[in-house]
Amino acid sequence: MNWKEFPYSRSLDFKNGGYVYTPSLEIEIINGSRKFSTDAIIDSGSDCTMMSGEVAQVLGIDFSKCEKDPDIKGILGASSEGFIANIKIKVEKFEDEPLDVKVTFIPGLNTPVLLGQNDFFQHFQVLFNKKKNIFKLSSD
Amino acid sequence: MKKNTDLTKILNKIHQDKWVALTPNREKVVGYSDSLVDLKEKIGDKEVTYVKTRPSGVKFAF
Repeated sequence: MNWKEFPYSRSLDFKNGGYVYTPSLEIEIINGSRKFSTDAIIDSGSDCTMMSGEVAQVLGIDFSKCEKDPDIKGILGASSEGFIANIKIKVEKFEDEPLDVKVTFIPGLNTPVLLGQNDFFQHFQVLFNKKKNIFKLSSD
Repeated sequence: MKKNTDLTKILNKIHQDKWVALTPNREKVVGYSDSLVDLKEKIGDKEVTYVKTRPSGVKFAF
């Protein structure tokens, strides 16, 4: 199997000191002629791939033309409304395998992209190695 | 292109909980803002990568 390795991204926690490590990678999001590159967190706990409402705005996605997903819940139970759109993403190191993704856009989501079970984990096998702060992806 | 994978070298306190535009190799900050739409307008069509930095002292569970 052909695995590609990524480091966890490292950020500083200015309040508590030390570092926070997150399994994220760079993706290019494509909606027609509009493209946008950003970091995406690999989130095995998300049922689907989610993006923030701000990302939808820069991609020119009009929520009034999207199918609604009326009941998106986080782990604390709060419910949000989402808007579904089909877009393409290109994952870093897998640029020659553009992926069609059904995304739920959520206004107020505080992170740009969560890559969830649908459709990211359906396409990629993922191995997390927190001890070494690395993860690996394979599309075989 | 080799990319800088350790953003702690270029991001500091003023960037926390902001949208930040980075050069494609992630070695330099091009701009930052509270609003992605405003930042994108400022940056225009320049080739950059946008990242949203974490607020300090917050634990996320998605």
